[in-house]
This record gives sequence, C-alpha cells and structure tokens, in this order.
Amino acid sequence: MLTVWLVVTAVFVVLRSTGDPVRLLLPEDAPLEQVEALRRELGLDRPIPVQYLRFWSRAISGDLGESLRFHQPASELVLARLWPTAQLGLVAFLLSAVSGLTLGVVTALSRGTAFDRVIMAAMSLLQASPSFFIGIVLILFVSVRLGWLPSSGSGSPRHLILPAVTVALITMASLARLVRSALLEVLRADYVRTARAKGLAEHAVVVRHALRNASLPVVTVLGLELAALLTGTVVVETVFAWPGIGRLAVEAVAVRDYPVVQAVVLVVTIVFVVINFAVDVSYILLDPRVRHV
Amino acid sequence: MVQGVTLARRQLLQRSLLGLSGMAAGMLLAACGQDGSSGAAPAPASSPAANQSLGNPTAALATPAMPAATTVTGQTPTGRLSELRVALPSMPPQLDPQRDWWLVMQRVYGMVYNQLIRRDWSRNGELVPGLARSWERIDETTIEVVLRDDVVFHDGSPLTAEDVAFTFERTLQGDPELSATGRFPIAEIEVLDRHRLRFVTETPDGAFELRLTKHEASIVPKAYLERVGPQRFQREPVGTGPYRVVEFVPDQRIVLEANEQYFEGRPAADRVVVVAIPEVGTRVAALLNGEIDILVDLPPDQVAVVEQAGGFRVDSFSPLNANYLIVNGLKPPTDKAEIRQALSLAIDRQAIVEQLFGGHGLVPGSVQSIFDPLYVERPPLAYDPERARQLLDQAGYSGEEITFLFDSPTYYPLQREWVELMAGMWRNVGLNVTLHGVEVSQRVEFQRPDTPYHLINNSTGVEVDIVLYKSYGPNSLHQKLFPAGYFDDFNQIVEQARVTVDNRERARLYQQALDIMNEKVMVIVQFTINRLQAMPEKIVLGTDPDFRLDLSPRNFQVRA
Repeated sequence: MLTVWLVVTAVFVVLRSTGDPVRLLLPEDAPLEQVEALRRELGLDRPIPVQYLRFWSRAISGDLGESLRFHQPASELVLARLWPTAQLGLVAFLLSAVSGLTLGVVTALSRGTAFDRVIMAAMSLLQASPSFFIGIVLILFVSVRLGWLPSSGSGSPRHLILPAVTVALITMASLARLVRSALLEVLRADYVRTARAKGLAEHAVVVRHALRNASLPVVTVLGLELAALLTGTVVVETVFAWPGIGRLAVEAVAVRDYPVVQAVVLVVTIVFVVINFAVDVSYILLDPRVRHV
Repeated sequence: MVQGVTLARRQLLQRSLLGLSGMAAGMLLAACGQDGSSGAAPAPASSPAANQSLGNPTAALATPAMPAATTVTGQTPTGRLSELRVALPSMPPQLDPQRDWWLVMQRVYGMVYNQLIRRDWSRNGELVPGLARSWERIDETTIEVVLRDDVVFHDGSPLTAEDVAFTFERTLQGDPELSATGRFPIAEIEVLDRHRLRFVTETPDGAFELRLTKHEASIVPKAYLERVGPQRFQREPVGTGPYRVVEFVPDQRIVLEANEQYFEGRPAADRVVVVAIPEVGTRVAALLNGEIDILVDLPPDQVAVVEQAGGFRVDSFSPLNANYLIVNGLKPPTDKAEIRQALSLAIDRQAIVEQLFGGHGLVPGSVQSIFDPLYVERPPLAYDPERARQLLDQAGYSGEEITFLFDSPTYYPLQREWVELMAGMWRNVGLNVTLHGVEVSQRVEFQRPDTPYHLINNSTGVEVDIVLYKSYGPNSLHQKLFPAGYFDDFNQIVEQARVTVDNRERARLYQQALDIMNEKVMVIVQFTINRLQAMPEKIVLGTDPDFRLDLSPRNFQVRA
C-alpha cells in the first residue's frame, strides 16, 4: 500500500511540474482569457495540494477523474485497455517462459558444444536487438512478403501472433541465458556430484536437484518479466498498433492528460505489487530455508 | 489485393532500412509521447478565418502555380467499394467540429460534416456553394445566406436556418471548452425564413465567407445536439456529410456508413473504417499489404518505398500550413533587426526542400500560402550567406549565444534533420545557435515574455485574412508575449485591412503588412512541407490543403 501511495504521489507531483495541458487542448493562438477560463473549468487553477486531496478523495470512491482528451472517465479507458494488454502479456509470457526454459536447460546440458554456442550467440543478438527492429522485420517478412498474418491492429488471434512473438523473442533470450548460467552454477555444486555419485539417473539429477535449486533467480526474473509484460510494452504496442495500456500511458503523458496517467500508474503499480507478493510466496514453496526464517 | 507482392531481396532490404528511418522518428514519438498524431500537436492551420467574398470573386488576384494536385472532377468512374479502410497516426478523441479540430479530427470531419461554403480545390480553392445555395453581401456588415432545401442530417431531420443559427450561436457564448468560441465576429444572426438567414458582423469583415469554409463552421443539428447534449455528441455526432458515424470506440476505431441521402450523390464506398496505426513503417506495410486503402501523411522519405511496390499512387500537395520560427525581439542579440535578417538569410531553404524532402515542399515568399484567396506572388525568401555575414558585422555581433527551442520528439517528418541542417547553416555564417529540444507541452509554455529562448519553432495557418490579425495583430497572443517595438506600422495596416471588405484593397494592404513582417523578420518563415497521401491506383481521392478527407462523390471515386 505504501508503495502504491508513494508512486502515485510522485507521479502526481512530477506530472504537474512540467507542461500545460490547457495550452495543448486549445489552439495555440487561443486568447489567454480562454486559456484561463478552461483552466478554471478543469480545476487546474487550484494549488497542487488541493488538486491532490481532491484526487484521493474521489479515487477512494473509485472515481479517477475524466480524461482531458477523451472526455470520458479515465478508469473506463484504462479498463478497456487492460484486456488487450493482458492477452498480449500472457501469451508472450507463456511463449517466452516455455522456450526460454527449454533453451536454457538444453544449452546448459550441452555446454561447450557447437549447438550451445550457436544458440547462445543467437540469444545475445536477440537480446541486444531493439524490439521495434524485430517487430518491423517480422512485419516485412511474415506479413508483407509472405502475406501470412496481418501487420497490425487487433481483434483476432491472428493479430496477436506477431506482437506476441516479438515480445516473447526478447524475453526468451534473456531468460534462456539466465537459466543456462543458473543451472551451470548449480551443476557444479557438491550435492549434484553427490546425487550423481549415488547413482541417480541423469534426468532425476537435473530435474529434482539442479533445476529446483536453480529456480530461485529464475522465478524472480520471471515475476518481474510478467509484471512488465502485463503492464504494457509501449514500443511493440506502437509498432503493431496494439491497443494496450502502454501506448495509452505514453500518449496521455504527451498531452499531459493527468487523470489517465494517474489511473494507469495506479493500476500498473497494483499489478506490480501483487506479482511481487506472489513471487515472494513462491520462494516459500521453492526454498525450505525461507520458511524457517 | 497487393497480397502477392513479392520483393527482390534487395528491395526488401531497402524497404526495411527506409522503414527503420521512418521508424526512428516514430519511435521517438512513441517513446516520449506526443505524437503529432497523438493529438495536441499543432493542428496546423487551425485558425478560423476569413475571407473573401465570393460574391465578387477577386479570384483573379491569385493564380499561383499549382503544385500537382489530384482533382477528381469530370471523371466517369465508377466502381464501388464495400469497405474503405483509412489509417490515421492516432484516433480522434472526439468528433464535435466546434470543440476541437486537431489534424486527425479534421480528416474525419471531411466525411461527416459540410460547411455553408466550401473551397473548390480543383479550381484553385475558389469559394463555391456548400450547404448554402447562394450568399450575398447586403451591406458592409450584413451577409445573407440562402440554404439548399434538399439537405438532411444523418438523423433524418432536414437542414434549416435554425440549425445554422444555432451552430454559430454556440461560438458566441463564451464556452471555454469550445475552441470555436470567438472565432466568428458575429454581432447578430437573423433567421428570415426556413432557408434564409442573415449574419451581421461586428465590424465590416471581408473574410467572413472564408471563415464559413473552416472546420469550426461545420453545421450541426440543433434539435439533436440539444437533445443528446454536447458530451454524447462528441461520440455520436450527426452531420450532413457523405458518411454517418455508426460506431465510435474511443482510441480504437470509428465505423461510418454511406449517407444514402447525401445531397451530392451516393458515396463510392458503403462503409468506412478508420483505425490508428501510430508507427509509420507499419502504416506503410499495411498499405502494401492491402490492409488499408488510404494512407495519409506519408513522410517524404517513404515515397520511394510505396512507389517501388507498384500499383499505388502517391499524391503530393501543398497544405494551408507553414513552418516558421518565433523570434524573440526583446532579448539580445535577436532584438536587433540585422541579426534576425542574418538568421533568415543564412538558411538555404531550397536545399532543405530538395535534398531532405525530395522536392515535396516549397519555399514561400512570406507566411502567405499560394492557396490564400488573396495570394499575390512574391519571390521565395532569399538565401544569401554573404549578406548575412555582412549584416552580422554591421550589428557588431561577436558570437553571443542564440538559443533555439524545437519540438522533441518532433511532430513534422524529418524535423530533427532539418533543425540540424539549419543549425549548420547558421554556424557557417558565424551565428552561435544552440539547440534545445523539448516536448510540445513545454514548448508552448516557453512562449511567454520572460522566455529564455531566442527562437521557438512553430507552424501556422497561412491565409492572411485569418492569421495576420489574429495571430500577429495588436490583440494577438504573439504581441502580448513578445511586445517588441516593431509592431506599430504593422498593427495600423492589419487593423485597417481587417475592416476592409473590398478584396483587392484588402489584398494590397496585407501585402504591405507582409513586407513589414519580412523586413523586420517578425518571424522566420521556413517552408511549407507537402502533405502526401498514398492509395491503390484504383482509388481516386482529391487532395485537400485544409486537411479534410473529403469523401463526397465529387472528390472520392473508385475506378471500375
């Protein structure tokens, strides 16, 4: 709760310290009297502490204010964007988690071989590529050249594939590298040698002893990645014209649409806090040591 | 349709590179918000305004060499489309034409609304009847308008003089949320009968007819708007135009259906779907892919990509918009006219237009557009680095810093590139200009008397009737913010021109005002960048310098 309060407050103050939504809403040559009149009407002429109190007193009853740009409740706008964002985030997360884990484990076990080197080089390259580059290359090949999938927009599962793959590729790359190094670390540990020495089958060694112990850093990163994906991937949403929460936030910041920015920040912070909590809980399940602290 | 496009590997590579460069701009926009598209960005040419009595067309005044514009008149097409898909860089947040007219809104207004008078771009922007059958000046301040009697709104109600009176009365009530407030200098509106009414202006206003062609003069239905209220009207608008809005999903799509009763005939597509694709590279891919049918605001550096693909036409046309720099005439060293002149003379505008925009632009002789009804030809603004150096010497300039504030992320295509080119040109003549990029929202804040900057980028509408008095005149925001000492003569002239009804006389006066503007370098006019639209060859869409997507059958046709 403290986190949520701190973040929302910081954003509230920072937003108001630069830029002027009223000048942006009206034509640039609008007379100053009209600018002032609109400022009064929107309640933006009051001192920031007053605006701040008003924001919270309304927020508590679920009213996050009306978008200056769309003239409709900010909460409605954010909620309308949540589902597309969640769709994209979850699909990308599943794709990247499965492929990242698999690649990480396989390369760790085949460490030093040509296969390992090729995959790891590819992962480094992917991780270093900006997502808009990957996105536009996919559009050019899959969409324009091959004509298999639509280049942008939303509304059908086919529209979801390219953006999800774009997001997943990058997340997969970092995940694979992380899993590989975590697993390699563990495979050198004494208890793994012990397990092998007592004659356990290799898959049992890897799955029961090594993987489980390598999972802590991986789960932490997975949690963060999930939170990041669920709260919007601005660049990919922009490239694929995906109606997600990230794009909403960025466009709202640009025109200083305060209520929308605050609503997005509130929702995003809550998602982060919830997922962090879930990750902490999973430690307890995965690591017996934590239980005894 | 273009589905099977196969590309040679090299083309693909080129294309992706081009896409990337466009994208860099797009990404920046996205990253910091403010896409031009997203909205607040300078809706170009948004001022209302004025002019010309069409009744006595002084049209002969202006006959600029027209840049190749597609015009549709006279064609006998005529295929049909069941659906026309249009991609904009962002979605219009609302569709009340008097509330706001950002660029993306103007596009859609061209489908939904009409004005009493329109400009016929196939005839050099001549003023011709729209919803008005005719109009006439009764005296210096009175204009009588006769409406067509065959026009119905999308809700089925007939257009009457009451609707017209209501439309303009809305702008007289001081509502600060309506950007149209104060845009029409009307003292009185008198409804004579069902289809006739008179406007009485506060002072003689030669520009009144021109004002009636602007977006904010779009006629709205009185009964419907009063019934649903202004909030609902923004999303469930009703107009008289060729298309009616049937679905408005904020920030996602707008679906329109053909208005079968449209007074100019049946529109060529049954449905129109408007979507937003913010990223330029993606928008181009969607066009090549046949996912969209009309792409507006193609950046000049993407023209080759579309043309190489084959099967597409790109129309390039000059808009009612010019890029310029506000010059701070209060703060040394730009308080000296010589320094301001040197700044202007040092810019090789022609080179920027040719090299950077591939020729898709023009260098004007002043802030006035070639499409201004009062246009009088004058030579392009001069490039003379030698003279610039001399002027700097005369002024005793010794390298004092000149600060230049520009939008970052940029709104116009290739803006960062041209800003840097200009900075280089200034440096060449010895001017010490430093660049500061800020977001639009901050840039507008720096337009104030104590601004720490010397130069601030901006753009403007370019009809003298509209901009000279309102944007730079005695009561303008510009003079309040930069009350430099050189406005006296200028003010006297524009005050006089404003109340002059005779077009020739007014045109003459405004030329004098433009001379002063150029001489004193009140602003540094840069250039007009062409707007580009791309579509499959079978679609024919006339260009509209006033930024409408005019889908009436006289302007939009499909080849069989």
